[in-house]
Amino acid sequence: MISVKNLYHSYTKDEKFAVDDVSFEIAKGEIFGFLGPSGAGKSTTQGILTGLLPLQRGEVRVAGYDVKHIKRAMFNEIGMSFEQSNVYSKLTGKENLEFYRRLFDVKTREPRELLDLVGLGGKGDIKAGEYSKGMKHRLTFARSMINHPTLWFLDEPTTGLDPAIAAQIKNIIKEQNRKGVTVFLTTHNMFIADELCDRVGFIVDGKLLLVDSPKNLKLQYGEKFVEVEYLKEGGLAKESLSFVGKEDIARLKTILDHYEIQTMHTKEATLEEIFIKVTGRELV
Amino acid sequence: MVKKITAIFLRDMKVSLRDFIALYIIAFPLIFAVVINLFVPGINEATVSIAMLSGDDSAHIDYYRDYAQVEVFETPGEVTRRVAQRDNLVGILPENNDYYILVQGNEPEGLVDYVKTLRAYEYFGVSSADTSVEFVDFGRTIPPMKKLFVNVAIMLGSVLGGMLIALNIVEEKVDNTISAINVSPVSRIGFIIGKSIIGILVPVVGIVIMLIVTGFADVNLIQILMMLLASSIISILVGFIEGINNDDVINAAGNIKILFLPLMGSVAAAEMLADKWQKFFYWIPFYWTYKANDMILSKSGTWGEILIYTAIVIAISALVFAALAPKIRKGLEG
Amino acid sequence: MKLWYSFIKELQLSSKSWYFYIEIGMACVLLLILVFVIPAESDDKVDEYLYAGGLPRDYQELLYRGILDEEDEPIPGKRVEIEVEDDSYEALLFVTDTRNLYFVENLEAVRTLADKEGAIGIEIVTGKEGSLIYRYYLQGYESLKLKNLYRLLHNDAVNPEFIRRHLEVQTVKSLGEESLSLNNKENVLPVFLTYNGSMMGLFIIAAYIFLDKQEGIIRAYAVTTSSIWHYLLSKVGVLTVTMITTSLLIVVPLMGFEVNYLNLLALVITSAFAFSSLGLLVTTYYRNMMQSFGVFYILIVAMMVPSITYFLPGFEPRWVQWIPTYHLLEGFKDIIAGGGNGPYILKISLGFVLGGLLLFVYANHRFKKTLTLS
Repeated sequence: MISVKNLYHSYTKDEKFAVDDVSFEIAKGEIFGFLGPSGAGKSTTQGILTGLLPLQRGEVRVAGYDVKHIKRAMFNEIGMSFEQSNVYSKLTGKENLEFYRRLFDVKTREPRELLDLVGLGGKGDIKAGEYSKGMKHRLTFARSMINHPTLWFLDEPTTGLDPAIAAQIKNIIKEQNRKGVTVFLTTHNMFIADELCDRVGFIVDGKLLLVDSPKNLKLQYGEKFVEVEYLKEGGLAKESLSFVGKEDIARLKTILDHYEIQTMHTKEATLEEIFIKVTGRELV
Repeated sequence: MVKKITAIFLRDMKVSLRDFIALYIIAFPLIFAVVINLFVPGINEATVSIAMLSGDDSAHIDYYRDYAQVEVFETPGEVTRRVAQRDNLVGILPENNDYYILVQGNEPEGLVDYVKTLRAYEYFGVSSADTSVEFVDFGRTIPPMKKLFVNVAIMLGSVLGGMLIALNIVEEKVDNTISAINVSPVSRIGFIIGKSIIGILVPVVGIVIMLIVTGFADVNLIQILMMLLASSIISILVGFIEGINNDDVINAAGNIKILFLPLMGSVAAAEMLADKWQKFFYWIPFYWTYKANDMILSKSGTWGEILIYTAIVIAISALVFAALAPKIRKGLEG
Repeated sequence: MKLWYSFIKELQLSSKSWYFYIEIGMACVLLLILVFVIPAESDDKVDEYLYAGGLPRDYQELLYRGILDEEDEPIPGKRVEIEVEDDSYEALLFVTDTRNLYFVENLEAVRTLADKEGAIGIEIVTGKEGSLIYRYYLQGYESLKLKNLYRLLHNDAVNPEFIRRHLEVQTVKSLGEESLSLNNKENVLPVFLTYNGSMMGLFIIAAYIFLDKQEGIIRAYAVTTSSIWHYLLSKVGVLTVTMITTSLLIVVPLMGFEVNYLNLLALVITSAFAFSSLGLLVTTYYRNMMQSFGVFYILIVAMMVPSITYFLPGFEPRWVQWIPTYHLLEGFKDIIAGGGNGPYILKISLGFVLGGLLLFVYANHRFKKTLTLS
């Protein structure tokens, strides 16, 4: 669905690259997470893929189109949800969607249905200017689905949303993906990436350092621990035991057999920890 | 393409109507038309004003009414006070079986001479009935002042159309929605056309209504529309540039003011300046628009002349467009 | 003291804004136009085109002299070519104090000039009993009073010599005001001063205020020890300074020391104050520039009306005097003419101060009231 080969981009048009020799492929039906701290080159890459920024150097194909010579028809296939919500504040939520759907040449979704989907069902007739930040964000998100995109760009889709709504958004993304939609997810939130993505790519200082599935990354870079708290001689004891070493497994068995367990958590290495390990950088 | 352009236009229209701003711009030529209808007869009839005593012989007063605007007062004191006011009005007061002229002192000389001449003819008992004059007229009922006002209103209408575009672009910028348009199948040119329509259509509606109200309904509407379209190009360009460059109203207001200077300058040049100065105004599209509109309104222009003027306006606009296009393109990248 | 600091701060802010320089730039452009384009003395003589070709040759010369109405020396006639459409015609030109009289050889040329260029065309023919008839070619919109005047001026009832003598013996009493004669350049100055200067404050202060409203600056004043009226007066002050600058920029180079600058400043300052206070008041009723557009539009159109009166002295309905810009125009005219009508300037300045003060106090009151809502 997306193929990027040796992509470079410089805002200053010199050798200071914001995106530096990036290559990757995304298969149809995949959820691909593009992870990195702010200023790493995520948005620049995504901007080039969606035609918002000109392609300077490299080869990029998106949904079967060569981005070098962008055809407007490409955008019938693409949906784009922006990090900064951008809706007409003088139009109502419903009018925003009604307007946007007319810009497409393909079959579009009903605004009502979309508003219901993102939990704005009752707010469709209120001007978007009066929406809260989160509501505007959801409207931007809903708008990106209006043309039944087969390729869906999501830029920080859950940032700034309260947990319940974030969960709802995540479910929508999963649901769409199940229907075959390819998702390009840009975020610095490792939890959502971990939960949703089939594969992730780490980008830092314009360089794509690694691409793999979260599962493989954890296998490769993370150890699994179990943390147990149990009662011992009237007090609370705590131990952290690895799943890998034989000694630790024997010890865990002993505890389970002889003590009263208070809590027990398996503790996987988080994607964030792996990111720090791989890149030596914090995710901010 | 047409569907998308229509959608963009209708969206702008909806928002502009919601803010009443489009209504103002439609209403602008209309209000102007009403004002023109109200004032022009007065201006056309404008003549010398004379203050007299109501106690004077009525034939004496009526004599002056044939040639001047006469106000009558009860006492000489009232006449004096009236003359002392700032406007240009002279008094005729009786004294020793004759009359004298009372002036404030700062009236234009010609005005006093006019009244003196009337006094002389009255003295010798000459009236307009003793004339040896015949009149032949060309059947024009519309005074030039009215034509000028209507012409200016047409041009202002088109400039305001550009302002409407600017406001809608500013809105896109503030809401940051251009980026959303850029990831839809709408081409840049489609977007620009969609955004431009409102700046032409709204003034056209207002201007056509104004032409009807002011009694110009019988002019060649196609020529007017052609000229309006040609002169709209520059307004649209300015509208886009304004919208792209301005986030705040003060600068936009200031820039619109800059635009008014060549507009009014062109009118003043065409109407008042000597031939040798005219060439300094050739670069202003408004100058040609004004001249063409004038021909159309007075029904004296041939198709050939109107087409040449249209071509000049379009050519100047094309140069401006060539200069501004890169900036506009960049500004719309979001 | 706080007021002073607040004023200085606003002044610094505005000196960084593009708008301030637009105003200065505009003033410079206007100055250039005044200096180079507008001629000081225009040739405002009326062109009249006459045709008397139907009369006997020797009689024509006599007729010309009669029409010219020469007092002392005979006016020399000049042979000229005039262009009508694409043809040229011979004409005899006589230039008098008030008129350019062209005696054209060709009647069709006279008719065309009247028809296409709106010129005054007159054909002189002999009527019954050998009398002369003046046939005026008019456009059709000329007023009855003007036609009456033409009728009156051409009559056989009285010898023109008698009329001339009567003109000389008429009594004209003056109330003693000095005659204000302005040349073309000077005549445009009051209009610039009124509309580019003083009245702009009305609109621009609104733009300033709405901008600050948008950015929440006004609300911030509510939680400081500064009074809101400090802020408002500072804004007014900034505009006044802008107006003084642009006004002087135009007046000084053109008029030098011929103007009473004390009077000029008084009028600029008081009117800028009054108009910006009016602008302030309007802003309290609206949330943004767009919504208030209609009101400003109507106000500005109304304020423009006296400029028609200014340029067309014959059109002067009395209600125009109720519009403040009428007096502003007249006041500036007095000052530019060096008329030294101090009391009048004082009177209108006082009027602007009082009006402005009332508007300002009320605007301030409304600002305080609406502050929490905006």
